[in-house]
Amino acid sequence: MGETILEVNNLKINFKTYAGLVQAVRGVNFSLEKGKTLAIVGESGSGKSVTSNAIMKLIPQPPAIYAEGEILFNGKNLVTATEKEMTKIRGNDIAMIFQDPMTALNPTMRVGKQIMEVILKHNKKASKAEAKKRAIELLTEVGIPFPEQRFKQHPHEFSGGMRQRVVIAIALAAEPKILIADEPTTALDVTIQAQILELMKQIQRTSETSIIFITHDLGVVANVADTVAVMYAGQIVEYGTANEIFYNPKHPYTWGLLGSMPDLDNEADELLRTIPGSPPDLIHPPKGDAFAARNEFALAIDYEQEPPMFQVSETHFAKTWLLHPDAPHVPIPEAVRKRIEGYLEKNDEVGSELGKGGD
Amino acid sequence: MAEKILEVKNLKQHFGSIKAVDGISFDVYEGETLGLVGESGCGKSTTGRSIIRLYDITDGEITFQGKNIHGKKSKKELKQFNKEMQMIFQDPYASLNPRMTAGEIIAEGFDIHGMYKNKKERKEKIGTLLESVGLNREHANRYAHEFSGGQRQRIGIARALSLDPSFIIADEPISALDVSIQAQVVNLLRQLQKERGLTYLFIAHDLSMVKYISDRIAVMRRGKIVELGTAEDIYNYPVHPYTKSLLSAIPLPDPISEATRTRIPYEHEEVGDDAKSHEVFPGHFVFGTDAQVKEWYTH
Repeated sequence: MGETILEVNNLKINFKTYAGLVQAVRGVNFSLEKGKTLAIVGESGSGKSVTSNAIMKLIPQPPAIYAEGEILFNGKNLVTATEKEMTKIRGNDIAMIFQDPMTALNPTMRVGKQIMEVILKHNKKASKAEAKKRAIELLTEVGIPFPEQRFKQHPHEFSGGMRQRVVIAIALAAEPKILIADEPTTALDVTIQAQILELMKQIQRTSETSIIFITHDLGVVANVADTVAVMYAGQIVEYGTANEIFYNPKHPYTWGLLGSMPDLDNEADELLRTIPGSPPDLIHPPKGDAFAARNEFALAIDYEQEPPMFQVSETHFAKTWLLHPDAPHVPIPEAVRKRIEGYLEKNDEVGSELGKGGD
Repeated sequence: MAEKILEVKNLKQHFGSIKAVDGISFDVYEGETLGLVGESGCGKSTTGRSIIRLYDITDGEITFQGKNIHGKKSKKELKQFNKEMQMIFQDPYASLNPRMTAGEIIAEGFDIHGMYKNKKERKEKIGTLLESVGLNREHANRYAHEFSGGQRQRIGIARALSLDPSFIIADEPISALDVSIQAQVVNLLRQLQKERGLTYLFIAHDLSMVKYISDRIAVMRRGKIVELGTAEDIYNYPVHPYTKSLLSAIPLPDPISEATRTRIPYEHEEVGDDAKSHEVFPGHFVFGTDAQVKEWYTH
């Protein structure tokens, strides 16, 4: 086990609205290790962005209420930290990359100045000349060609992918220990997305940054994550290593997500598996398992009692009554199982071709 | 082979100096789904909008059911054309009028075309359409904001179906939806195609979804179709380096292979005027100069 840098315990966040109290995050637990990537995956409204914004304390209070729980960054509880303390932590220790690089940048300011601003703010001793030198270095690090010329340009002179690189450069300017990336590639084209993901992984290798990666794209999760948290209706319903989540998923919602994604080897005449219905209203979260109404494998108890997190392995947990020793045996749906077996077989073949052999 | 329902010949759509679509040709056959993929700004949406007459085209010819789309048309001919070709839009939040009920939105088309005898028949038609897209008859009296994204897209589909068209252009119909909802909508589109013998032009940037839904795929880049072939051929035997690069960039839900995956970068090569479409294999077209295509094909 590596060194834990961030720990979130039983975090509950509510929003006061005219319609009532929305329970957006309903008891979330996870930990982040140094130099590792945790992916939080879920659909809109699952609470994944609220969770990440809560870590930075970027959600306005009111309407948000930190109802319960703690967020421990190097042992310090951020929930009770003052705004002054948070200002020090934001950017310096924890930095954020947002989905839309155009709204994250100031359109009236040269990009070089925007990077320098962060450097000067976080390193009071640095001179302007030093900050400029560092800003150009950062532009080079994130793979922007002609950094000296680019330094003087405005955001509108950059393409979407290049803008996101600038946003990453700004996030890295203060050498943060944790990088929170909220759907950083969703607005980008696939080829640009691939470049940005490569860049983030390369940065992680050289600077041991820990990353929280929020996304709804399971392909992206498989590409970046060491650990995966699957969120549904404000709760983590499955948690494990990337291999555990993708090759041995236990929660019916994870099955549903994996099944609803077409893959390139899909038979053309088979229908995609779908998750019927839509997510529950979090003003009145359903009694029992929040996923029960959409779960084809729901048991009677799912409508009565909320399931606990059952432990599958040392690192793998899932919140479903199907894992209770007395539950009937429900195998993973055929289509999802076949696909996983297909991937594993292919990987084995590639493995043995490379002389490594499968396991 | 099925009949050609749509023929696009040397279509050009220029906006000032921007050549959004720059001389593309393709056919769509009755009952098939042609996927049109490419990255933002490649001209795929412009192509769809030109076909349905949202733009006056700069040059070229589009023939639909044997008739030139952009030629002079009488009101009657136009009405007939509008009936046959319909569109489903990307953003189900922006494409439904917030002041109209779902029923009014769906019925607008047949109100204009006078496709019912009395109020009772109109109501019955709305109900049947709602049910055919997986909604309830009672939903007719609700407004757009009362529906979720997936349900709104179903209303958009019901509206497109209301005139019983033969050809539907779906412009990124699922990209604004959540993963689990995407699958519901795609399954619905496929089921409707089977039941009604619809032809689709499916425009998208998500290559895995396009592969899944399409019979044939056209890959666009910078206003040109760089490669066109059956979905199987495009995915298994891509020839154009841009197609290869696009395919290599799709992340798969498979962590072990993702750990070793290498993206094939694409270096744009300037193509001169002598570049043209080459049929490298029956039905599989690649755009480039003779020398380029020969080199790509032998590699």
